[in-house]
Amino acid sequence: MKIIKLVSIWNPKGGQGKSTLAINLAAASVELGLKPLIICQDPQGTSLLYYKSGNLPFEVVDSVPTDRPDADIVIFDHQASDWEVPKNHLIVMPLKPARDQYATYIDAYRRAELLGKKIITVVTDGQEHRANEKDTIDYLKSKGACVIPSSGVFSRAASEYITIFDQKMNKAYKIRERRMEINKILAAILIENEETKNDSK
Amino acid sequence: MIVNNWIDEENARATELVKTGNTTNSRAPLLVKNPKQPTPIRRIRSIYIQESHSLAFDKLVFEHKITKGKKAPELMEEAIELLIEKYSSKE
Repeated sequence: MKIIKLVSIWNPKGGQGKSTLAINLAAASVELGLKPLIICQDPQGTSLLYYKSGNLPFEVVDSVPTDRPDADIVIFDHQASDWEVPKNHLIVMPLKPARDQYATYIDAYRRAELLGKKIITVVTDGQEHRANEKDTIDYLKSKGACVIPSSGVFSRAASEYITIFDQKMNKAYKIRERRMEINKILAAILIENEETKNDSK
Repeated sequence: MIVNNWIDEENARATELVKTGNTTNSRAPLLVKNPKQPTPIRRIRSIYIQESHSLAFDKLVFEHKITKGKKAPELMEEAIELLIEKYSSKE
């Protein structure tokens, strides 16, 4: 039976970039020839809105499928205010590098850590020209976090409900760097050894 | 060099908080999940009953369908459970 990589994008704090990260990681995996599936677990349905626009080269579903999905990687896009640590082993936690955002992140991180989860931290929307944010980013980097700086490409992509891997974004400013950062996170996910078999029938 | 003096403070606070199992505001309402119950696996097995009973069952199913009540397999299961309760041994 094919092993499906399960990954949860989780942080109880809202507005950290969970859905943006979910759709862009899925798009990056398509570039690698993988078949992703996003399971939207958020009543706001942000990733579903992207899917319904018809611009995504992968599927987003609104609930956990009853049958085993035909996918290589399944990404759970969790909702804000969800304090229940995801059941699967691998969790990606995006956060913005401000103190109040960090406070919620570290509370949730500790909970996941206690359950032995593998956590990949992603600092999103950071502005390194601000000394305070730079310190936080450097600290999290030293702990192994990935970083996606604040960038106009995400809002530009959002305005058309597309991912940054869409061809329309090819000429966007610093698109190559942003795509590489997403690819780096995907690589960290894919090389994680603790793979989980999806037991759903 | 780390200049932010709050990181250690937040880390220590979170470490203490996780020991309690609470959130920072434990009195605030928490998100309650209501996952759909999985449909039980049912096996098909033929039984012979009198026509009048079959018609009565069909009528019952029809009435439940109108009121959005239990479906035919659930009604059949309920009937079987009642039979088991009535005729099976108490041990």
